[in-house]
Amino acid sequence: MVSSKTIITINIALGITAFILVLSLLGVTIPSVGNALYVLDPNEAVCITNYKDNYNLISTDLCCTELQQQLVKGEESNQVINMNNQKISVNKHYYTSTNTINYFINNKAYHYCKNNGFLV
Amino acid sequence: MKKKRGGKKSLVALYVLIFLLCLNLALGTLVVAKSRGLLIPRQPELVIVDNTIDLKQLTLEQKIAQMVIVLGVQYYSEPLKKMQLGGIHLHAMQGEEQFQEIVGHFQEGMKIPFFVTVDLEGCVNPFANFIKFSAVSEINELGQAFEKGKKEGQFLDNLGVSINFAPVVDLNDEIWNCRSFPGDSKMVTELANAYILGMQDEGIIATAKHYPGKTLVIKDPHNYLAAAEITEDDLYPYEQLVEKETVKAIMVSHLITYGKVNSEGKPSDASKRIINELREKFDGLIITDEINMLGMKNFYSDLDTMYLEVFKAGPDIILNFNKDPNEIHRMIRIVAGAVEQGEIDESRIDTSVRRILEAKGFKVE
Repeated sequence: MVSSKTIITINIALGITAFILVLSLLGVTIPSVGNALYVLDPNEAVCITNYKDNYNLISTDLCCTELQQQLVKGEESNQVINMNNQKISVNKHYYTSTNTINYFINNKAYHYCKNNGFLV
Repeated sequence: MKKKRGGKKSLVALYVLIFLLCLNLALGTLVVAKSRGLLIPRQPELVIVDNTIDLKQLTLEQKIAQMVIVLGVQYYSEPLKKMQLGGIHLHAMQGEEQFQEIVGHFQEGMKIPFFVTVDLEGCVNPFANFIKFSAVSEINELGQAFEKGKKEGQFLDNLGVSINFAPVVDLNDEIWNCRSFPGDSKMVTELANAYILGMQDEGIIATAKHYPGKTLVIKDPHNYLAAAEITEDDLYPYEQLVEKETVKAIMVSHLITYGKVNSEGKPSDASKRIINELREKFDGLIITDEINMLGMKNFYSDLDTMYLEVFKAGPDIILNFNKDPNEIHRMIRIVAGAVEQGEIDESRIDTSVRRILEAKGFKVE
């Protein structure tokens, strides 16, 4: 026979769960681990477009929209891209094929897009 | 006595446990149903006789829904079909069969079919995993441009696509180096015209974008909307395509513009002035760029204000690629509320819906 103390503990847990479910129904969101990862990353968000030999920076805003359109999303690609005499570190690669526009982003940009609801 | 009280306490705790278990089960079911969009109400079934639609038959929400194109996510097909939205936009997939399957799934049972839209430009190609198309930057002859449009049009028609968000007619692609036709504004216009003729010859609606221009030259790595000066040269392709009565749709960008056209400090696709000036010359479909873009959302204090500003500006079709069908439904309800309160004229909604339904091949009363 389960003790009443145990039942009360379970009830408290169920009460908290019910509260969280009500918040979820009302559309209230709780800050996620992803959000913390974004805030703690000291780098600036970077998104590079690449077509053949051409590389260019674009805004993360525009980037997030383009990334979610690609077939291959978030392929690990830790490398440094040389661009206009700059060396830029990236972490992920997005593309549909090698002969269409490819995108390279860093983890900061990844967390930015993900935290804002994009399917990256 | 102590034993009796202890026993009563345990019984109460047990009853509370059972109650909380049932409550959690009910709430959990509701949360899952809501996340899948299953709580969104179904719009009434339409009666269509002789391919003719009476606008008075449509509810206000049905009419507004026709003006919205969303992401075609199969997981959410049920709520999207219940809302009877105007269209679905498809991203890259593994193979042709997947595209055909998803289009078939969405169109099944729809009295008013969805527009099915894609971004097939060439170097932007959602089908690149199984078919290659040339970039427009590689096209420099009218015959080539026409053939490219025709070949892509045939392919898209076979898949069940109805609108291609292409060609880009902005000048001088300094960012991607592949999205604009080569040459000056005159050459870009002629090549784009030939491409559009080829594509529309196969029954696909082509879309000149992104009005009023300059979207391929603004290199701004920040997360807010950029501003640009629009010149006569930028406007030339759009004006010519409209004058030739070639193009059936024009997409308006989020760019804040000044110079030859002035968006008065607002994103162009939320500017009544920009949309009205375009409408005076062009009677085809005016489509916004994707409003779920962060720069667009960050420009406004909240989503409700953004939705109302965009609809009030007067475009026919609004692209909203927020994947949550509940948010799409909420947008429709907000706009419907604005119409009911007289903030938005219902006749403006009717005009756009008429244009949309006619583009879908219906007669409208």
